[in-house]
Amino acid sequence: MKYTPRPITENVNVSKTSPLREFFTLLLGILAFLVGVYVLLGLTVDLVAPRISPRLEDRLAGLFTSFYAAEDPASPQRARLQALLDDLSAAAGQDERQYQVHVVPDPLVNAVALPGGHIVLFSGLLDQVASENELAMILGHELGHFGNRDHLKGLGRGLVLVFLSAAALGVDSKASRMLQSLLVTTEMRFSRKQELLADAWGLELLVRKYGHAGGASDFFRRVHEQEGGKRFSYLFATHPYPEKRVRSIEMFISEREIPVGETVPFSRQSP
Amino acid sequence: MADLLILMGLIALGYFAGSATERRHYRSISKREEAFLHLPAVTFRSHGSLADASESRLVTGCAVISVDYFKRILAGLRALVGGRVKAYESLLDRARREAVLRMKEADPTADIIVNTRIETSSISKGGSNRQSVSTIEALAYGTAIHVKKKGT
Amino acid sequence: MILTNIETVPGKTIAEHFGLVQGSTIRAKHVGRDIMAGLKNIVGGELKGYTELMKESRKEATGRMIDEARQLGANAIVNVRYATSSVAQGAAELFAYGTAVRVE
Repeated sequence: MKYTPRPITENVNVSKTSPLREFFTLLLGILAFLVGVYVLLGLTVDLVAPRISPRLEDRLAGLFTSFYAAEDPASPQRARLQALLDDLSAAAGQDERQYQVHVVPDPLVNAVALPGGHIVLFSGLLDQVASENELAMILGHELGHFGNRDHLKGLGRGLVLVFLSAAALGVDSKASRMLQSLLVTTEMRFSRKQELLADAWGLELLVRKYGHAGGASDFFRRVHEQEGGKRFSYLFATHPYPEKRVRSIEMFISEREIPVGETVPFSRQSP
Repeated sequence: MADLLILMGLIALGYFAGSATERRHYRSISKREEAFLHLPAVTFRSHGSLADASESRLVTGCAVISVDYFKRILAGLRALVGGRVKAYESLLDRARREAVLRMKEADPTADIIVNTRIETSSISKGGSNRQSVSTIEALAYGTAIHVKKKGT
Repeated sequence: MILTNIETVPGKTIAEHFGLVQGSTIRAKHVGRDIMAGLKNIVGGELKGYTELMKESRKEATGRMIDEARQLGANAIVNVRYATSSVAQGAAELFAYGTAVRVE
């Protein structure tokens, strides 16, 4: 048999298409699909959440007790916060539900409204508070979340998020964590409207309790001035920019011509 | 956010470095394939040259090649959708051709290599990574035949 | 010892055969090589360390097969085949087998 040496010039085993184009097509396609499903499910949650009965909500609350497991229930500070919260809740007269405040030692500057009427304040936030009025504003803001049932919406969306990424990419892969953080950021942009609504609610309660709006925006302004500090990054991510919040609160005050009075100092030590 | 930036950096690095490596490798492959055109590797078990062979021996060549980060992510995305995984095509092609070349280089003075076999296996990366098919080994082996020179 | 992967040893005749001979070795990845391989995994390309490792290991498996053939009094192994399988996470078995023969 004769051998004729001839080179193969055309590589048939490797596609000629651009891998970059394939990459972006796939990435955008998958992201669009996930976001689409997510928005759809999220809207469903928004429709369902306001219809969840308080009894079911209390059952759900059992899932979150670990959040405030680290607190010291007998501290005098907590008793004072609880008294303040009771005042505000009475001023609101919104429902007969018993709200409870918890203080968790954590440098986070944030507060969370959890199912079952629990408000968790992180001690990092308490360290930043200068007056009782500011604190009342923050507690009022969280009561606003309960009033608008944002806490259930957020929870439902969170569950959707975890379910989606787990379904798409497996329970504990790097890609699924990445996707989660990406979707959380998107989600937080949707929620900024809710935050501003809760601010309005908090302001309302503040005025009902003290008769004036003093201290309403002080806390957010202080946070804004310290912007750039790492410990605030969480607050920035989940809430509107403090600057924008301060502006919207002040606009609200001037529009409704609410008087601004002296603030009551808040001491961290027990009296 | 920092995670995302690192990921994007790795993907970009993988894309640029990976395609540069691939181009260089293909250049080297085609140059050497040209140089070894005189030594055919066939899958025949028997061949006319076997009758007047003076020497025969087993020759092997292997290459372990890894895909770059960009293509690994691309294949991961493709795995979600299904379809042809183009990202791995060049990886396997390069590994096989490199292995065959190394087999020929193991005995460059041979006249023919008969019964050539090519085998591919994936080297598992370990850990919880699902995309373990990112490093592959290609092995080529056959019997190199030296034919008795005419007139000796 | 002459090794081929065809049924004969060209230019020689097989006088007798001794049946199957095999050699195998299981290797785990080397830690030092793995660090380099980790870097290479980002940019792609050949993992030279691994190529060397596979080559050495296959040589060892072939060597063991040859030892076995020598015990039987063979001077050639025909129809040699190689197989690779990953037996555990990060470990691979390299396996060589063939038929031991005596050629004249």
